[in-house]
Amino acid sequence: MTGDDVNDPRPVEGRPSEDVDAVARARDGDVGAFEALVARYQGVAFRVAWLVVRNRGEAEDAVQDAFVKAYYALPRFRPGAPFRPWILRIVANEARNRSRSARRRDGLAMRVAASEPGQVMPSPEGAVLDRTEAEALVLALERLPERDRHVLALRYLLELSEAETAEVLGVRPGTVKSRLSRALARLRAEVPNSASFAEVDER
Amino acid sequence: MTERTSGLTDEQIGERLTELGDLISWPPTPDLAGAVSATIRDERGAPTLIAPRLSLPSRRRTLLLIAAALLALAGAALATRLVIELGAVGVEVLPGRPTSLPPHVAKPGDLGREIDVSDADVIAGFPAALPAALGPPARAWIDTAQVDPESNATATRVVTAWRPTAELTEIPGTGVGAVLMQFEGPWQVASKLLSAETNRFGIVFVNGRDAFWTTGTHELQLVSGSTVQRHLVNGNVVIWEEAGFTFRLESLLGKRAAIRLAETVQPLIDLG
Repeated sequence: MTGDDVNDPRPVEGRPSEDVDAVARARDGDVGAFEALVARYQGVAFRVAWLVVRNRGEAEDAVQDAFVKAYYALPRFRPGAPFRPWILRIVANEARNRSRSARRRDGLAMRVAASEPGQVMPSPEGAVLDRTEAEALVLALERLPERDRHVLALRYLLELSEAETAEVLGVRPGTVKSRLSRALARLRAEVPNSASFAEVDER
Repeated sequence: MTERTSGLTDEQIGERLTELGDLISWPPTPDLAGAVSATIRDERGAPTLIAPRLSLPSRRRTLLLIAAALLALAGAALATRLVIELGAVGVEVLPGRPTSLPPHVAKPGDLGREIDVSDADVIAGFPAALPAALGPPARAWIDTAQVDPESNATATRVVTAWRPTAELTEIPGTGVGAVLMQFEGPWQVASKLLSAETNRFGIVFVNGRDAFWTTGTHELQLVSGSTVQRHLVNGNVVIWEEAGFTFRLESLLGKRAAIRLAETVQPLIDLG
């Protein structure tokens, strides 16, 4: 991953026990406890917002407003419920509201991190993508309809669970399954006839 | 597409996309924790505009009785801010004189999407109400305010306006003689900022129910979508609740005439 993120959003599994305590204190008016929650989840929240609005400034505003609104909505947050999908849903809603009026969108917003053409990217053990293949996937993703791109990005690029993806999109988990299936089929059709991609299967 | 590529399973493509998540040049995440907590600390001293509240009649009654007692003592001697909640509209009375009023009254485009008043019921999804004494309005608008960021739920506002007549003097700067706002539901989506030194205000009754009356230039804040708009108000205003709605009627009518007009408000469908 590139970029000088102040908060690497991975791992994005959330910290339920710490969250429960922080949420309880924030509900009692402890702004510092809420600030800790913001710090914990702003990374993944920003990426969710950016995926929707494709504009850094708009995404930043959306995340900030979403967290402020979430603070005031805490009295309606069910105690013990997972905080991360709840806040990500608020962020996504805020971003969607802004995306309707977003002035300028980042162009080809998803760019594979720069490296030498054909170079195998430094990645976890067992990784199979090289740069050419990654770029092909990015281009294919960019050609998909927004709905397909969003569900794939949330589920795989951000590694949200199906339940979290459903929460963020405001749909049922079963709907996520079916949307994923259709989106993957469309992505498969969009991936160019790439020799390097074919080679992937031979590894 | 090669046969091998087309043969990738959903799981295999998913694995590749997961890897891709690590390879994408994401925009750097801004550090927002400090800005968020600073905003919350700033706003906690002020009334929140989008504030779903318990809308218990007894609670409202108590608030209004307390407000009435305070208002009797208030006038220029008000030492601290006074907050009154009346359905969708919050009223805040600040000590002293106003420090920064908005420069303009609301323009038509600020009030939402212009509609034909006969379509209001269908578009709003609830019976729009009008003062029978005024006849059909000249213009009507509809707008929504986000009231629940979690569900993205919205509350609808219908605004109707009447041209000036011999009885309805033009409200300065507006081009109209009367404006009625009808707010749906219990969410606070509007706020009035009054000044103890420059506004007159008090508790009145509309159809026997508690209502609020004010005169003098002041600020009205309206939630539109997820943003707050600030508008200058030059008219006299009566605010009351009825049948799950909050009404705000602005004109240059005196208190008694404005209340009489407010008491003629009824659903459009009953007006034929």
